[in-house]
Amino acid sequence: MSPSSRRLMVLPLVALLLGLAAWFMSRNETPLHAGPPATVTFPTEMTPREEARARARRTHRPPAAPNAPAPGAPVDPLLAVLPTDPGAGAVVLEANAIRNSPLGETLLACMGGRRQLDMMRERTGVDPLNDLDRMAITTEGVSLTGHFGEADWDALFPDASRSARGDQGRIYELPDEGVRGENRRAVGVWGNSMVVLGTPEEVEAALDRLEGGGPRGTPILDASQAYGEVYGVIGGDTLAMMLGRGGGLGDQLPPELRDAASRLELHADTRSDVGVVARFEGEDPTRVEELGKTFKGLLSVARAQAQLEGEPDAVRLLDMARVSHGEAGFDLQLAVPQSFLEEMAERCRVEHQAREEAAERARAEGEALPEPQTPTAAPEREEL
Amino acid sequence: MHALEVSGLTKTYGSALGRKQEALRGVDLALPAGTSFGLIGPNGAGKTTFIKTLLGIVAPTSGELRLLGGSPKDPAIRRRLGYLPERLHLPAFDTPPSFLRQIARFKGVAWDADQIRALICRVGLEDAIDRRVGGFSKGMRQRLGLASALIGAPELLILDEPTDGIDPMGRAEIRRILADEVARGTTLFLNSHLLSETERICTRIGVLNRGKLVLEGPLETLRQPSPRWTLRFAEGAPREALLALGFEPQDTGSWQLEAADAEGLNVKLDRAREAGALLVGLTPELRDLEKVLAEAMQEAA
Amino acid sequence: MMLFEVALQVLREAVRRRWVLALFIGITGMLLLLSFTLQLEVVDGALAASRLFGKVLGIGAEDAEVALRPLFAAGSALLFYGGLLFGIVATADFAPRLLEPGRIEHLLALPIRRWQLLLGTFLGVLVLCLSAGLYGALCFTVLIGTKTGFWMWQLFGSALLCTVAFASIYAVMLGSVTWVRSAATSAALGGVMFILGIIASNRVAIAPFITEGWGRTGFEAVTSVVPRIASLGLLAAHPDLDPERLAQLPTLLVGMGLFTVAVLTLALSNFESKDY
Repeated sequence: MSPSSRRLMVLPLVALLLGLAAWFMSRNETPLHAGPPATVTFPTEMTPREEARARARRTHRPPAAPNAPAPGAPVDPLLAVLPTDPGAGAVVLEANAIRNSPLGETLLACMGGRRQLDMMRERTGVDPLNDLDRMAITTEGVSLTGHFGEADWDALFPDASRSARGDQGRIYELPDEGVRGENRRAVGVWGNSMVVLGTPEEVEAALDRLEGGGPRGTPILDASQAYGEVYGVIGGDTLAMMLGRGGGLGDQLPPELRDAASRLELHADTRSDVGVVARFEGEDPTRVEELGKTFKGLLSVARAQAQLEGEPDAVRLLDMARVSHGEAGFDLQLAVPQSFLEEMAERCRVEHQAREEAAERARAEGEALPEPQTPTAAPEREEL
Repeated sequence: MHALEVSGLTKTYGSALGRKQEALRGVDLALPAGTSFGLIGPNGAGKTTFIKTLLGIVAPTSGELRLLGGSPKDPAIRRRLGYLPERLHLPAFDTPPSFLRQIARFKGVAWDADQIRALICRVGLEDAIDRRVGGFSKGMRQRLGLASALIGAPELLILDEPTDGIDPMGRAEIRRILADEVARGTTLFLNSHLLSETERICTRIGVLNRGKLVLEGPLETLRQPSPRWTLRFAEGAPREALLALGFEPQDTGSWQLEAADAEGLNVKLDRAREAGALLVGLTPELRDLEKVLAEAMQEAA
Repeated sequence: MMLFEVALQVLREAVRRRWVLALFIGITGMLLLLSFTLQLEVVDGALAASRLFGKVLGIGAEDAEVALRPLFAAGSALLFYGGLLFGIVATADFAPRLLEPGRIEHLLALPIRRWQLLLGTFLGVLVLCLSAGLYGALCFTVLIGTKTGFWMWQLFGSALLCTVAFASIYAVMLGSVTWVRSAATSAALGGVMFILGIIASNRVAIAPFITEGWGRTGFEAVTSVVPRIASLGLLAAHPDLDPERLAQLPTLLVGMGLFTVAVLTLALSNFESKDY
């Protein structure tokens, strides 16, 4: 056999090997990009987009009398109803923005899709996905802004006692179901754009603040702090209570440091990857710094523990957690990458589908429906 | 037993343009073990191709080839031969001992440092034993190459221009080494453009021209194709009697005689002596190798 | 055994080369410089301070293992890509020198089979590459380990992956020498393979930019065969990647191994029938 024909005989073998090589290398092929999320934005200051958003939301308070001039500068109605007590706490959720973010998708998936929300819309006339703009959770109650023109409040609360408050407000005081009046609840409606939930006194105070009546005070959340998709402030008493209570992170803090921080400012960007910044400030910078170092240590320990216990999701999240010290305090930064949210959403969807199918089967077999389970969120985040 | 057997060996090189060049055109050769063979021929005759083909470095296009009773592709056969290429390229950083140790390892020969040193001294490189090969002259490289070929006491030595670049004194040393090897029973296959070298070392000659072995045989036979002798008689030799016996007078005063063999020569000499001629000199009429080559080329042409 | 003899000979030659000496001196020098200029302080498991040439680095104030990760990622990437590039340049003339006229005839007349000569050279060069990689990895790991008390073995993995990637590149370089005995051609092909390897690693992202049809099909077909150098580099620099990407590693290694075997088979077939 001549050398050239020997060479030709080798060619099919080489082609086969190259084909196999190509097949193996193309398996599970994904676009190339480095591991840690490069797109996580940690909200540390107001962006021009957020400034424009805040400007658009500001309105003049309605005049006390028909011909009187509008009092003071325009304000954001939702910020205006927030408590003024420096020790209180308030967290605002940009519900509509979150709804249209990967986080919103995840939450929706974990809630089991739109069915429950559709039921709510049929019952109240309010579509939480479209009508709700923002939600503020405070130590004094909950406030919602959005478009509530479709809601028939009188029909919704037929047993409530109705009263007018200010120019556009009305309050529905719900029948007291408690023994000594501790469960007195009221719903305040302001025009078609705001609903306030709380005790009758809290609702009255909130509506008064909104229309400029009642005692003067500065809301605990300033307009310049309204950035991110979640933002809020937790004041001294509430914060001390949070850090000092049993369980979670507070339980692991040394008792002498639990009251080191007197103020916590919270901001979260949820547009793609979720980036959370929790800014701790206090009167004594040394103690606040100590608290920051303790947090840092706790994060290291939590990460090591997650590694030991084989919890890769927790390790991934803790990998991106960091503490950075500033002049007045320190920032605790947490990130949840979009890919993580997508994985979680997929998990929720699968779990929910499985439950639906089980329920369907049970229905078909004439058995009782299984108790619906609470969707599982990331336990490590809850702990944190 | 033959150390080398070649029959009908051809090698044709093909170019990318489809042109073919015949480097070897049916070479036949058989060398008994212990022979010292010299290959001569003009430039481009195919001598180096022939040697490379013998060693399996070049694959023959056709023909039969046996080296030491086996195929040159067999490493066991290659272990029993020593080869010195025409232009040996040595790793520049090596010293003679490290280079030879490596060759010994490749040949599977367990030589100690003393043996290596002795070999280096044998080829006359004792003064350069610690020097790097990179600084060696052509002649020194050839000596080291020869040493590498001698490792493992090879049964067949194939040397391509071994004395190229070596000074006359060095050449004599190399000749002595090769003579020793042949005396040991090694078969020597020598290719040298120095015909005088070949003449002195080899007992058998082959002339390669245009890829064909045009002449091959014992050196003496080639140099003395017809059995002629030159004789010198003492003054007063009987001219007529010598002429009658077939002696031919030469201009130089000597005589020439054609005798088929030694017996015929001695019969004639006896008769000349009986006639009164006294013999003072007798030499065979030999051609030098250059003439042999020229004649062979002429015949081939 | 002869295979290892040839590999050893290649290594012996290599350690006498200036290039290779420069490689080892370079690695040592760089790490010595780093050891004098890099300041890392770990307090209670967290990186308290980090300075390079006296300047504060952007890392710190977090879990030391996490904080050191970018440093190790940079070290791994440097080791991987630097090793590949240096390997291509430094070893390009190894095989051409072995095949030099006057040397190859001598070697082929020795009791060495041709495949042993070719694969021995390949093996020797790979051992050299691996040794340099492991040396760099060891020095870097010891340097950071002694400074911080954290011992991360990532760089050793990086050295191994670099060797795998280099094997596929060097197979092409060595193969080319059996056709054209030229160090320049060998180095150029090594460079081409390096670049193609990066392109092939990004083929999924690049393909949509090529007009659908023959062009894109051709691009996908050609790049499918090429070793994914950058993918391996990414895995070397970020072994903490998501499990999905890590799952790609075994198939990637098998694929690159097969590519190397295919190229060597072709080279061997050519070398076996070549006249010198």
